[in-house]
Amino acid sequence: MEPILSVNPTESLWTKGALTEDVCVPYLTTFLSQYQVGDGRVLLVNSLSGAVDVVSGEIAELLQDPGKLSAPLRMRLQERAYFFDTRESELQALARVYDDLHYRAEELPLSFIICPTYQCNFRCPYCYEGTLTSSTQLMSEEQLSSLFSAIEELRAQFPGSPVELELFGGEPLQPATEAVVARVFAFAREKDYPVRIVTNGGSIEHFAPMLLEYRDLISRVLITLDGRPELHNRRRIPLGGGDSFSPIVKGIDILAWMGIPLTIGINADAQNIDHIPWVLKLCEEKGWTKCPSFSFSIQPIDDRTQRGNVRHMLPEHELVQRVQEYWSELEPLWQKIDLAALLTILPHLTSVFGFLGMDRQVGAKPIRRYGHYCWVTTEQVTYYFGQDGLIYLCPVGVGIPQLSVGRFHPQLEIHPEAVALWKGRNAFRFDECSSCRVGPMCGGGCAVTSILNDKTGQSKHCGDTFKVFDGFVSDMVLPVIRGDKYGG
Amino acid sequence: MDNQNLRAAILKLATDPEARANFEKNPEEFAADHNLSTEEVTAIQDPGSEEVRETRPRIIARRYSW
Repeated sequence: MEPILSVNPTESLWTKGALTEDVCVPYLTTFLSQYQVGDGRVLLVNSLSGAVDVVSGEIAELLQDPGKLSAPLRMRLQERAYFFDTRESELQALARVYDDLHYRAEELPLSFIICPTYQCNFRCPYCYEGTLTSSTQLMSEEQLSSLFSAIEELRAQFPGSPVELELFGGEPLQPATEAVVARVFAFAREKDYPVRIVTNGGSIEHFAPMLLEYRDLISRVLITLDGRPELHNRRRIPLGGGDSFSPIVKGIDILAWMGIPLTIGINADAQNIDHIPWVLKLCEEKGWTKCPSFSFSIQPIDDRTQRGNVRHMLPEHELVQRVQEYWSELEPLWQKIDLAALLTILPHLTSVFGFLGMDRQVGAKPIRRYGHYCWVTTEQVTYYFGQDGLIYLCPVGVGIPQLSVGRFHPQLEIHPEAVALWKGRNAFRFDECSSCRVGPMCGGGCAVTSILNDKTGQSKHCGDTFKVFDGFVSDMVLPVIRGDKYGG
Repeated sequence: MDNQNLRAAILKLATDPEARANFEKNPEEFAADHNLSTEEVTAIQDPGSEEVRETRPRIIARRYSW
């Protein structure tokens, strides 16, 4: 039996300059999780380097007493970043890799996301915006003028970076918002900025003439279908009730006919997770998958603002497992399935083991979001402009003034200390995370939940991280190692 | 543009393959049936054409994911 079976290749980036061959008592990384395979072997998962290895029980025991390991074995384990010379050299390696991964690439777009209103004409029971969507206020003409000035001022800070606008909400496409949306499109035309739209899709028909006029500027429209019609209509409820499925499908037909890039999403939880194959099949039958850059997004429902209105939430590892069970049905369209929202803690391990059609080679090196819980805290520049005149960094936070980082009306003000709560947030900022066995893959947890729980925003938020991480290994990875499930 | 008529015409073309085929064969008749102006007829001819796709800004931003 091989003493060490490496599941994924080693990324040399990890060990460069961090190791010496003559260390007497190497330092065992703190970023190590160990699991009994059940046949005497032990699975090692290194959240620092991303290495995944299966070793004999004897070697696993010697990790605590590395002086007894043979030199070749010790070097092999060092190459996989299980050993460092010292804690300091471990932290140096960590910082180096983090810096390498988190340069701000010029090609990353600047996203300016506009909420013309917080009002919504749907009442979806799981909505994270809660009662905010009952507001009837729209962005005023004065706010729009301030908004457009703010966008240009912020853009000037990143010369050369492409700009993308997005219409978000509340619901941006309602008859009541028509004049505001027209102003945004006119601004986009003047500046030649592409516009994404996130909409419930209930009023596409009403907006058809405007969408036709600006179709060359629309980079993508994202619409949610929550399952078969009867279930969808119980979850995506128009004000006054009734059928929302049929008008949305008609709306998507209109967008497809216009050749507008589409993302169809499903807000997934235990109630509708098994409807995903049906929705994808509908997309195929309707011909929507033939639209330019069509994608299908699986978006987990969660309760980051802790409103307590989410009843069927599934933890990340269970979502992955449920989708994997019927993956063969989705596989023909795997390239069109966007998993970015689905995987928060688990993208690396999902990739290493090739679940959900992910490329195993991606898992051979650290994920680029390394050390962060989500993209909001990375170097991606995204500003949400709320109807309240405030600026936010996270879609889940819009409309909650406590989570704002500045204002654009009456004039642009960005508060650096508020921005730092988000942009400075990563696994290495908190002492407990920088020595936590899953810290680099968790990233310190959700900033929204953390700031709402602890007004200083200076704390980690573990949430169900360990349950997700260990549950995934136990339910999905170990069966693969043992060769008794998921194709061995 | 009269949005009401244009809206109805778009819906018809987007959801009814037969109407699309008829429109391609005889746009004048479709325009008359839906009270569309020449400008409106031009707008609804091949709206997802290669030409439109080419002019769409190339960004199609992929959000930073992992």
